Amino acid sequence: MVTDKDDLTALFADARQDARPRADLTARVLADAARVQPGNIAAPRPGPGWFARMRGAVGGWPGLSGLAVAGVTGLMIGVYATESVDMLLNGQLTELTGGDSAGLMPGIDFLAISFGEG
Amino acid sequence: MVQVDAELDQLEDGALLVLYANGDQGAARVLTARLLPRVLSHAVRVLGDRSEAEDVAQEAMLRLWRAAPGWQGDGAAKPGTWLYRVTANLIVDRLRRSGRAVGLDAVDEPADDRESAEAMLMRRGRMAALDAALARLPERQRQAVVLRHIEGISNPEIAAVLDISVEAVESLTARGKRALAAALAGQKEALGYGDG
Repeated sequence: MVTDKDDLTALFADARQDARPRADLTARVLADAARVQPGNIAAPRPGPGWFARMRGAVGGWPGLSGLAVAGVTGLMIGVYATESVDMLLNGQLTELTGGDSAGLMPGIDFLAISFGEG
Repeated sequence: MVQVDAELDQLEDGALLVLYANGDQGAARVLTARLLPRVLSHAVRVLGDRSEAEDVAQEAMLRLWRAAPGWQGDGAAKPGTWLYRVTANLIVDRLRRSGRAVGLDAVDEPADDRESAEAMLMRRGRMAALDAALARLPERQRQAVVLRHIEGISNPEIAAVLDISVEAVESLTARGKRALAAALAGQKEALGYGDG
């Protein structure tokens, strides 16, 4: 065999010196080290608060506004506008209760009797 | 900074990695100077392609940086061995993905600018011949030969890197070296060792 043991040993020694890193590779490796170093990793941002989560659940500000308007409207109808609603519904409310609004809100009669007697 | 790095250079790899995890950039510089040449050399010789080897070396080092926060300073694992193992796996992934053989043109840049043109050509010729011969070895044999004879790491350490027994390492390196000698037979003049 022409290639003897000493030749291989010399070849291995040459190879050991051969693959030295170039400056740009070293720079890339050090840049990676700086980028992922624990102290340099940005702290996680705190999560959204309960109001933000609720707002998100109903579809953001537009959803929240719609919900508020619907709530207020419902309250107004309940408090002030039984007759107006009945009119808008072409008297169906009156038909349902047999013309007796007290059937819908029996507490009103009770209060009238109490005040009348007082 | 040079003074600080010289002090850090006295420390073992594991201690440096812990320092790096605690925010010391000097530790990263010393570890890079110490480990990157070994990782790159391993990858260049087994892959036979400088550009691919640089990608593998950078990726292996990145994994080391990412592993740093969980590193046990007094643990048995050495960063060097761990890194060789990561590199070996990255190399296997590349070789399996590409399924290619290495050509004789897979030589790298001159390592030293002061090297004469003749010496550079001779060195390139030798390394090309070595890479071509290594490329003919089975992947495991190639890794074992490179780690043992070029990187100079011990058989038990190679066993840990390749996840095989020490006996298997001995067998792989012996067969690999014989196969290399046979592949390079008849190239004594081309290798430039004929004059000595």
